[in-house]
Amino acid sequence: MKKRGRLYVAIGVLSSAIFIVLAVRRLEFSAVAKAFQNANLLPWLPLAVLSYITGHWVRGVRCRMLVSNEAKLSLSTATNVVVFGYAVNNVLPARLGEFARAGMLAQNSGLPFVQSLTVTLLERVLDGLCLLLLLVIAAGMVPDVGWVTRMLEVGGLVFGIAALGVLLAVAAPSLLLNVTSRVAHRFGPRVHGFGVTLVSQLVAGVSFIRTFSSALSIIGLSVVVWLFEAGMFLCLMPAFEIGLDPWLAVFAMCVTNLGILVPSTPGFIGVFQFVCMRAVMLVGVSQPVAFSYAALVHLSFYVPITLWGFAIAFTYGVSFGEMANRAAEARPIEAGAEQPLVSLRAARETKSGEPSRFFVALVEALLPNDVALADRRQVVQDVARFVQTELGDLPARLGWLLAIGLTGFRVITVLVKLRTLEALELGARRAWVERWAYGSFALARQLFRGVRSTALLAYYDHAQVRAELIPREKPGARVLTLEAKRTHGAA
Amino acid sequence: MAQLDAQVLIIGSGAGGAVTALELARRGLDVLVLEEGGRYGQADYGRPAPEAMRKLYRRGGMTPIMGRVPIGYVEGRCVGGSTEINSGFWHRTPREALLRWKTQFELADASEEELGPHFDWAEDMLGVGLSAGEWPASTRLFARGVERMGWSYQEVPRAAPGCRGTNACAQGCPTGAKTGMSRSIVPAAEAAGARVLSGVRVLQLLKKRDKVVGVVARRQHADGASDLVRLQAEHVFVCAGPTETPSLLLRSGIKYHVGNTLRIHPYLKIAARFDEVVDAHDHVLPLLQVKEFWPQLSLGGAFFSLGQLAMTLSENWPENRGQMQNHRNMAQYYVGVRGTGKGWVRPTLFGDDATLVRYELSDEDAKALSIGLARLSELLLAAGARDVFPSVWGLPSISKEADAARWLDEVVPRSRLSLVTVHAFSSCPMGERREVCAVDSYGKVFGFENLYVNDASMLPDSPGVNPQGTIMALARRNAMRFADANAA
Repeated sequence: MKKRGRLYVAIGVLSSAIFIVLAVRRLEFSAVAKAFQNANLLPWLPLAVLSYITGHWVRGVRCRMLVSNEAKLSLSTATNVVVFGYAVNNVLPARLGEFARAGMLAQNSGLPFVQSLTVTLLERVLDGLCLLLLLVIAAGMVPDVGWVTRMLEVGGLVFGIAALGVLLAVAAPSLLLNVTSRVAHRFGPRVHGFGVTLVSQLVAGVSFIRTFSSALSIIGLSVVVWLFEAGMFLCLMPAFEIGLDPWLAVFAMCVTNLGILVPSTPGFIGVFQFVCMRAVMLVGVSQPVAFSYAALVHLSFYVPITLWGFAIAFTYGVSFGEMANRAAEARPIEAGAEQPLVSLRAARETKSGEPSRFFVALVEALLPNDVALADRRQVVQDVARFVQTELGDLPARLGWLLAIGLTGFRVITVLVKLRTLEALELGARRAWVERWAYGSFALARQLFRGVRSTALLAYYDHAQVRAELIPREKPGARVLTLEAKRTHGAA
Repeated sequence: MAQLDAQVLIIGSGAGGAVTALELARRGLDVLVLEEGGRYGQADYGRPAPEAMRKLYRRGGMTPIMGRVPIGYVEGRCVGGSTEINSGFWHRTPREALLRWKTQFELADASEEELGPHFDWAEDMLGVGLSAGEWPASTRLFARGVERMGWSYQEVPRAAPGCRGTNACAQGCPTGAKTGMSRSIVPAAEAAGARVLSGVRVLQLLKKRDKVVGVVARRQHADGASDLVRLQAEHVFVCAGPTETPSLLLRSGIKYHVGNTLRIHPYLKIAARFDEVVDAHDHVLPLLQVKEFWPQLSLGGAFFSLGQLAMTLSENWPENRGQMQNHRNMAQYYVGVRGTGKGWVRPTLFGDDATLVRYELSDEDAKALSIGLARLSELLLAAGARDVFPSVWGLPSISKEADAARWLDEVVPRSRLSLVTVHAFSSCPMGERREVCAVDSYGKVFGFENLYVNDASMLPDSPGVNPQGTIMALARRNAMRFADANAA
């Protein structure tokens, strides 16, 4: 182990020792033993474990979604990747689980290591923000104490900065790459290559949350993840005759998970118990019961996932030591004169290539019904796909303005019509959309100009429509009989 | 892996980049052209507009110019650049414009006489000439209107020898008659030794003091994957077009008079319905221009497809949608103004590396457009049009001359105008006046030893005519001067 690694381990062991001492100071061990003897483990312990494992399954869903732009992972693989990271953190120091998890994700998805690590980092940032949000809400339900406020301040600072970084990578990827390239170029080709590679992969790592809907779904999943974890804390309360208090469970879960950011031994021994214990003691739970509760929560947290991790290691044929090394091995591509600085994968074709129901409904309302078409539905679908793709190509600032405008239109539609645009009957939908697209309100017309223009262009240049409107021979047509002449006037 | 370093790196393969590549390669320089878009063959051209836009246009054609009056703007993004999707209309730079550039920008060695040989060369290379056959109905009707108004017109020469009149220029000429750069200059440059790499977008120029030492570029593969590559070059010519050239320079920290002086020719489209069957979709666009009112105003013919007609009518769609049934009797024309407003170009801070373009129509432009609306409407009604349909909200149609003449005095409110343009320039103006120019009289960027701009960006201001000829002539002049100084 390198010198720096040994230092991390030493700090972790020392920190854990201090927290163990703090946790057991003035603790009556006989009372702890009695609390365990009287504990109602059934059905609460299995329920707690089930809730925790379900949370990991949701983490797997989230992980799969985060890499879905560039890699296809099965849900089981994604869940195993997540669990493996947690398991490694339980048995190896210095949060090596994060690197092991990134290594396993890189191996199973084919993504570059840095990009995989970025996905992990992104999950951590989202987790931190969710925890802070839940803590702010739950803290109002428990007695006010200074250390919770300090925890919120420190957590807010750490995750706020991280969130800003993520936000920059999400909202301004080109700017980030550009600035990095310009700065790194001053330090020679090697540093330049490294900087550009690193930032490219960071940017690719956060690509999934670049749209509002996907960002929203990821944040939603993150909240669900932590609610399931809070479920574990909640289920174990009745085991020690602590009243079922969802807010206390959420509070304890938040402070415990924020608390274990403090360096400690693998498995967060000492820190976990101390912070969890202090959390429930705030509502008057005695120290022995609180300690017993914290110890059981820790066991529920530690044992199933560690065992699952060992099973994964066995199934995937890797050792924990190998996993620790994988992070070091999976280096970015070295920049060379004829080598790409970095290769980025193609975005996967997904069902997002299909137009949304909203766009189909909107386009259908904008298109005329002047031609009898063999397959009108297909034409509408093709036009809507084109319009949606075209609008997606607008520069970001204009795209956002359009998205805000269309969101406003949808909201007003619901408020006025008491149903969504998609649910409106075609005649009513057409009249409503035309009021916006061709009415006297200039801003609404501007909002719809791009939509209606591209829709009409695509409709009238669609093969089916052209075939109906441009017959090669049309009986009775009066042909122009102007005298052909070629006169060249003065310029 | 392909050798990606070069003696001369040319960014862009449009009218400026292709000519530069040919001239430098002919003089024995090692030339590499990087083109962001794809390289397409004849089979890819002339496809329906939606397909063509996705392939040949920057951002699928969604590059509007923002301002109080948003203006639809498109440019090519493929080997050959915008010359692949324009009409092929050809003009030499008007004498007045060259005199103005000399006076106001101290542009050296760019008189009519000095540029003459370069125009001769370009016209010879592209087969520029007048149409060989009978004028199509849309042109003859326009001529009739001009004559009845007592004005004069000229047939505009085109770089499209043997044009078969498919009216699909904007989708890439399907017959190969139009001599866009991909059919003419680019193959000649390759024959002379230039290498052309398509699907490579330059993200940044790498500077070292007063030199550019290379670029960072994204190379797109057919499967959608991409590589970031770093290329080295002794000299760099940026020929990425009027919006992308300043955007790239700004992204690279080169700001001196870059991107602040964009000019455009704003156009207002007008559809006209005649008694006669015109079948404009089946013939070349109207070939005549009225220069009676130049430089403030030009009147001429516009592309026609069912989709394009619908777009023109769409400003007043509820009233005009029925006219789509009369499409065989309709043709489209335009009012173009010189463009005295001002605009700017900036790379976006957010999102992918897009470019934001802004242009504010001047009062003079708005007045000229209104007068042009009146003039063109009068002309078309005199030609026999039953109605004309301007792309102006709240003005569904004009069917009497008196209604048209009203706009000689009144100004169409800006909020009602729907404008388009395909001509943008002057975002890095050239000349010896350093206090207003970004590059010298030969395209060399001020403050840099080996960096040049050689495309529409360098035109000092609006030429008032289709700019392809001016770009090619100036680009060739600049390239030859560079080669004289640097060729072995």
